[in-house]
Amino acid sequence: MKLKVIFTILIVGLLSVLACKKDKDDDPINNLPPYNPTPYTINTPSNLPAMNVPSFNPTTVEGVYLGRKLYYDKLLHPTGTSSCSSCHIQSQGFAVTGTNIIPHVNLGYQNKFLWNGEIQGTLEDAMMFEVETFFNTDISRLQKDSLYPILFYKAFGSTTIDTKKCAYALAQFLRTVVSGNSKLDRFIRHETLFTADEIQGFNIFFSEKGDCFHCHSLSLTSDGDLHNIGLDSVFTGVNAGYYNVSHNAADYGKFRTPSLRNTALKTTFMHDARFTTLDQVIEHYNTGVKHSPSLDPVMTKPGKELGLQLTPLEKQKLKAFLLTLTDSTFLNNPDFSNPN
Amino acid sequence: MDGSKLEFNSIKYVNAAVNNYSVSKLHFYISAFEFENTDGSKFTFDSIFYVDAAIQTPSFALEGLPVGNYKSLRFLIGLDSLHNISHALPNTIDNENMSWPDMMGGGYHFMKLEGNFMDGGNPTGYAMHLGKNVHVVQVNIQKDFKVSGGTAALNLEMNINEWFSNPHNYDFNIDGNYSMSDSVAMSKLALNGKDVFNIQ
Repeated sequence: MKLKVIFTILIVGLLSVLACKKDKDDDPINNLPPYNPTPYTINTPSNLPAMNVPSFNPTTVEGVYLGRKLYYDKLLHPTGTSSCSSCHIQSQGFAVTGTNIIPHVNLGYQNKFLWNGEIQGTLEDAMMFEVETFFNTDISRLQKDSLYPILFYKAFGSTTIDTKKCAYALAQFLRTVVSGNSKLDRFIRHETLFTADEIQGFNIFFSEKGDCFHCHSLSLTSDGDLHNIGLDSVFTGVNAGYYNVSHNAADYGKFRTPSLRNTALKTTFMHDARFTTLDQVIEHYNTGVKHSPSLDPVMTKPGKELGLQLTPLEKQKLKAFLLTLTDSTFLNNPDFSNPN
Repeated sequence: MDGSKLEFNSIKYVNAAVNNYSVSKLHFYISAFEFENTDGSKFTFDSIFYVDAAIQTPSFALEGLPVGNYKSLRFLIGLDSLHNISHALPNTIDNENMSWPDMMGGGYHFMKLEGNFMDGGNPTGYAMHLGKNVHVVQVNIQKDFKVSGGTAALNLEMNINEWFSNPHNYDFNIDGNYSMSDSVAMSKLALNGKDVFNIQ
């Protein structure tokens, strides 16, 4: 009797070893192909500047796919309540209409991030902030997932996941999120014509008349820098802008020049969402600029100390131009959509 | 500035017209280098360099200059007319930010120098932007210098105060605190600019 029991145990043991072995053969994590990521070429339209990609994080098909998957995955959140895409909705210009959330558009050209320029460096630095500080991602949740260790291996050569690899993958994906097919882009590339109002608005924008171009440069519609555009003359709390980062009085009220792409989709403007229409924004530049020592020098040119002094018709034309910055190709690009 | 390193955003500088001022931005191009040897032979480089003064000690390489004794260096602050055409330079973020709108003639800004000055008791903005072919600055430094073998370094130093003097004492209150669309102001700056650089 006693012998029989031992024998049974042995058989069970042997069976379980066999079962394990079988499982092991099926588990893709133990059958990974050689690490060989495919280089990805970011296709920027001819009118946009060349994008600098840091050599320490080359863009690959596998990295971009992983970043895109993470972008849309609530696993990035420690309790799974939100993803990047919860606050950056493609159809709303990768922002949320009616909020001051910064649109994720052409981020690959930036080296200053967030409204007040709090994060400076590469897109990887910005994404490290998002993963480690904003989300405080619980890496073990990704590590335990059946698919992510394999996707990280394909992108970075290791199944071990960490915050840096998450940030790098997100940076790779966001570099591909390029807007370059608005009517303005096509106009610059001589692929389409502007209406009379649009061309006159363009001329106001890109001349000393409106003087928008000094900060909102031609194709990116942002110089990527920080400026005080005279929203306030007394600076407290969030309105102190880059001062809250540098603690230098010269930086009071400075905020990063936002891209104007898809601005027509917005119903709130500026870092604190204080304006609700494009007309109010134009009127700010026209009559509402408040003076202070840190006001950008470009804002107070001779004859324009009190604002641009555009006529109602000129304001209307400037707005007509701004509406050409909507990029429906970008808003509907399937490559940027939820892959999950 | 007058021999000391530029400190941004500090109204501590005084120009010849006794304007107290600061610098918040200094971006410019230098191009079309010509070195003249003491034996009279000349060596030219068509390189174009963009400088953002906020970047610590920008440096550039000019390869192939023969070893020897030189007596002068000539170059442009800005671009020659062949390159001062929209889209003539590579499409980079810096070049896009320096572009001069087609509406106003196209090409590029040669320089953007901005900051604040004390207008009465109040800090007030100034912006000295330079552009258009007629305002290109021709620098001609007559100074003996030696280029030795290997990698030789030539230190060029810009004295910002020189933009506001010699031959024109530029006063923000009189000549204007903005040079944009003011060809008289730009002409004065362009002439003053010929000796802003020195070889150290």
